[in-house]
Amino acid sequence: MKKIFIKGIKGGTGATSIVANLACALRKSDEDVIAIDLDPKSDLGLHFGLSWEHTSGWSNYLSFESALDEFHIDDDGVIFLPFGTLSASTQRTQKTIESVQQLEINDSAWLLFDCPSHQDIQNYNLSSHDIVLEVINCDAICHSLIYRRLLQLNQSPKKWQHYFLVNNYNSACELESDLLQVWQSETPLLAPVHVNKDEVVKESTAFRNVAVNCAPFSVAHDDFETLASWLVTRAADND
Amino acid sequence: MTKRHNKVSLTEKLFTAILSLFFTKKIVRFILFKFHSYFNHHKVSAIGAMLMPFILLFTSLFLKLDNSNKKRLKNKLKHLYPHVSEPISTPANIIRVLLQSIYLAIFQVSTKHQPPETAIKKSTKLISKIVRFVRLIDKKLTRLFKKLWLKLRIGSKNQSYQRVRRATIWNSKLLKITLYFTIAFTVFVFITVPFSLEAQAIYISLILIVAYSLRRVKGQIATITMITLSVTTSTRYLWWRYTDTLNWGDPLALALGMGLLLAETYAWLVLILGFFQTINPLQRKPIPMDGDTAKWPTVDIYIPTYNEPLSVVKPTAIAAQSIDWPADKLNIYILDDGKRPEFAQLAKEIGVGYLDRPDNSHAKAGNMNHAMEYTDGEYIAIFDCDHIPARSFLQMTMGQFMADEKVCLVQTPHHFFSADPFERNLDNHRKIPNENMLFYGLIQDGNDMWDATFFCGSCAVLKRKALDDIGGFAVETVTEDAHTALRMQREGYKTAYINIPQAAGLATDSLSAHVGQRIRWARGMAQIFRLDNPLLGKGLSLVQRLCYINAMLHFLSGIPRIVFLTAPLALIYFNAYIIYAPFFAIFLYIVPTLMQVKITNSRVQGKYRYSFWGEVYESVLAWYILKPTTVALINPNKGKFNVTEKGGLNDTARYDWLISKPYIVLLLINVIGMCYAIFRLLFGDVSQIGVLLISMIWVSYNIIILGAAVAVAAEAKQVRSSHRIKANFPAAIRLENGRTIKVKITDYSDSGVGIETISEHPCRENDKVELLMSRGKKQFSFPTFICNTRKTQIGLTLRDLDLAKQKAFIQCTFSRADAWIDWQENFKHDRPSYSFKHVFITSLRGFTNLIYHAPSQFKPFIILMANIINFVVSLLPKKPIKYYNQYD
Amino acid sequence: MNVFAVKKSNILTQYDIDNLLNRFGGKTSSYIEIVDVQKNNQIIEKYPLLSDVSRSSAMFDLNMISK
Repeated sequence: MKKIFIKGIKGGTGATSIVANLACALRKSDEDVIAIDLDPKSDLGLHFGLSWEHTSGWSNYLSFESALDEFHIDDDGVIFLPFGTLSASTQRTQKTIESVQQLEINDSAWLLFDCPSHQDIQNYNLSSHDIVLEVINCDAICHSLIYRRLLQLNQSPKKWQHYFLVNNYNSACELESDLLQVWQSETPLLAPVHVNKDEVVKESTAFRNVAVNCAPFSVAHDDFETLASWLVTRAADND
Repeated sequence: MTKRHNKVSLTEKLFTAILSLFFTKKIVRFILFKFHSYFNHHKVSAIGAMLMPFILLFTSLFLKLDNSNKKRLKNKLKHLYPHVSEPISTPANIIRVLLQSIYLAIFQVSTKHQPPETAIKKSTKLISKIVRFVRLIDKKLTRLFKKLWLKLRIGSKNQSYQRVRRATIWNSKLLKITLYFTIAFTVFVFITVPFSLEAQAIYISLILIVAYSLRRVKGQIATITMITLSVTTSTRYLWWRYTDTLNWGDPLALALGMGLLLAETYAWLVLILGFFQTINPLQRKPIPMDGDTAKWPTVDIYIPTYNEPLSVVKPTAIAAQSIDWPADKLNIYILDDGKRPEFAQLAKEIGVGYLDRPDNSHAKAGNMNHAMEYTDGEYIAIFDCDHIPARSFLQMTMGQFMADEKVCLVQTPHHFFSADPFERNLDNHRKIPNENMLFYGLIQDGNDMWDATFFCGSCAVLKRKALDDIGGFAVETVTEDAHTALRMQREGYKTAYINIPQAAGLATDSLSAHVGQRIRWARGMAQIFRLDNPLLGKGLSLVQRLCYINAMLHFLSGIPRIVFLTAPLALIYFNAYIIYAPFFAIFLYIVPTLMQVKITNSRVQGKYRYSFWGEVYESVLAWYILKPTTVALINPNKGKFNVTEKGGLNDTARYDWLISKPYIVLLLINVIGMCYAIFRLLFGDVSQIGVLLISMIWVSYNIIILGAAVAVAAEAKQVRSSHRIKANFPAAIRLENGRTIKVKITDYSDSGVGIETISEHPCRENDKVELLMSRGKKQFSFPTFICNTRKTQIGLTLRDLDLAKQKAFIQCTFSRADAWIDWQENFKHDRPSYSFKHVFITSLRGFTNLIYHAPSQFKPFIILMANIINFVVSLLPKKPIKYYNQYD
Repeated sequence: MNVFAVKKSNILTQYDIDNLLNRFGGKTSSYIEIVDVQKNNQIIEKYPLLSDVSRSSAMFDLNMISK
């Protein structure tokens, strides 16, 4: 089982849409994918076409076993688990993560966790095979946050594989172009793949779908495919 | 009025009187009525008008001429005789009617149904059937031979054969010497023993069969076999010529014959040296640089310029800046011999160096020597001002220097993204390999095998130390590049050639500029031959000497080519037997040798030059390089350096009469010779028919080649001011509504881009669109607007780019590492028969060009000729128009 | 395990170098994409926030973090 934790370095970087599109891209290459929403905002399901009225998720149940009904499957075959309406403590989140792994699923399946930006990754008890994608945008605040994170990681070395993933990149903007240039050569742990700004990502959510399905000839589609294939290689190297 | 009426009525009365003796009154009235009708109404001549009524009466005896019948008859006649128009009874028309009637009678053409196939159609069908059959046999035979050779090769892998091969007995020196001696002796026998005609025929057919069977067999061994056979046959041919075919009796024939023989010896020498040079192209692989960039050496890039426009030099300088090399180890200099302030300004803006000097002595070499005093890079890369380098240029070439410190030069191919005069004027661009493809694709690679690569003036890197050792760039000749390389090799340095195009530039834009450039090269080579002869002097190995000599010989082809173009006329005009041998012997010796050599050349050079085009290129240059080379050979210091112009524009289609004068003169004497030969054939001495025929065949071949040369001088109109370059790499566009579309770049120029989408796109003209392209890992965005669009194709024009964006654009397009690697991909292997057909068609094009562009003095004559020909053709019988039967 | 053909994003990568080296031999890893150190420094100087961060983190060798 390959576990990917996707979290924004701050709110609003577009982490959830990355989870949804990445799941779809992996699924399109016949991988088994389960996406789990760990964010109290509970909006992952909307990306997969979940009805707006359906608000419940794993957090509404006391035990994981009783929450098994909350697993849904979308048209592409991606299995997803919404968060729900009740709040959940760190411990419960931890428990959910562990429980998912104990389900009877393929050893080669992918588990994508949509993590809230305010939550500290360390709380998830990650192991060395886990990949964390910290989603960033090309702006000054993210730059500052990246380096704070780097300093933090420097002091207390991590066990997991950590990458900064650029989302919503617009090369026409001078600041964004400058920042990415510096990051690509100076900043450690930057993912070699970035996701370009593409309106179709937002638009497809309004259509209750994902960009990978809606716009096969767009750059976004290509970017998510590349992201998926890079992760496959990373996971293969881990094994 | 009344007078005429009276006159007519007098003759009329007389006429009526005579007629009424023979015919009834009604008929007489009819005759007169018809006469008047034809004479006055249809304007037929008097005699015609007179005859017509009688003809009508005559026919009415046989046919019932009522109205509908008459109409039908009239229509039928119209269809049977479509080229006869009213008025009918002109003398020309009478001829037409006669000829057409004979034609109709003989060929039984019917207008009612599909005419049966005429003889011509039948015979063409038969011919194409035969051709198809021959091709089928050919295919089957070659497949059979391929299998045979393959079996031989596999057989050579089995055990016993291997044991024999590996036996140590081969190491015995004595055995080796005896073996070589035997081979040499056999070869000598084959070459020198005179054969009777029958023996020669058998010998030559054996050779041709072997050559033919090896045609499609791939592999080095087959090539070497064919080359050996060619060498044998051509040497034998030459021996025969020297020993058996000189006419000692007739001084004129002897003199002309010796001339031809010398030209043939030249051709033979070039052939032999050429085979030897290109038998095993090295195809050197690039050596990667060390991973630690701190160890990389410093490189200066020189961009010499003299009078080229700014727009040509700017992309080169920008691209040079973007070469992947540590910035602190790369220095770029524009060396401006034109001392133009706008260039200094440009250099400052872009951020490159600018050097000029007080004088212009020794042109480019002097310019670069001067620059060497102010720069100190360990290596010097040189780009002509229009040669835009790829970003991987240095990393592909510098590795050779790092691996071997004796290397002093790494040369890369000169590739053109614009069409050279041959390609443009003959509409050959990208359809057949262009003229410099043979040298950079094959010959220089062959040279590399023997460590004889020489510097070509651009797209190369030189070691500073080596240049210092020889005292800088050579200035004594006008081809300072080849001379510099020669000098460095004499000092003991090695050279290298990487056969990957890493830069591309502009070809010469007119035929006269092209010829001017070649004149300079020819003169320079002859100068080197005199001043620094590679056959003499120290420092070169034998093979290096031979390779240099071959390069020089190539430029001495002026006189031999003229000789070949005029030789057959000696027999026709002067009856001089320049080849003193019976017609059959000539046929048996020449034709198979030529075929053999052509087939071998086609095999060796097939991807780089198509058969027969070499003769065309040579003919175009022959007259012009004749004088400079001869002068330079006699007195190497005479003559001045003329610079090749680049970047000009032809705004009208015109014919360059000035430059094509020699070809037209040669063509004329050949055409007149042909006519005279036909005359002699019909009315001359019967015994000479054989040699006359051979001469005529040779003359017609010359006419075709010269026709093609004439065609090149018709300068085509150049429409664009900036050149479009074909491409095939991915990119994307972002529309104003934020959506993106993946696209493919199909072409680009310095101001626009052509793209193609996968499916239909929603864009319209004048939409603003962001073009996203990348160079390596960096992505760039360019503001553009759509200037034209079709279903899946869009043309984009770049909107005001600032300097940074201009730089980025060039980095993403012109200086892509893979921008030029397709330079040879589209060319299939040469097929001599197809190539000949192509040359033939080009030749016809040459003739039509001559007529089309004829100067106004000739136009009346041409129009008269055209009219005469038209008239004669109109008299000939024509196929009747199909008769769609409306009246039956 | 499913074998996923590694696909590189079209407009991002070393596409042209790949093409070149595929045709003529050599590994992509042997090509060095030159980092424009000067340009990077210019950018950092251009934005005070970046220079601030750069100064503060200079004392730590952050490159040790990547494996």
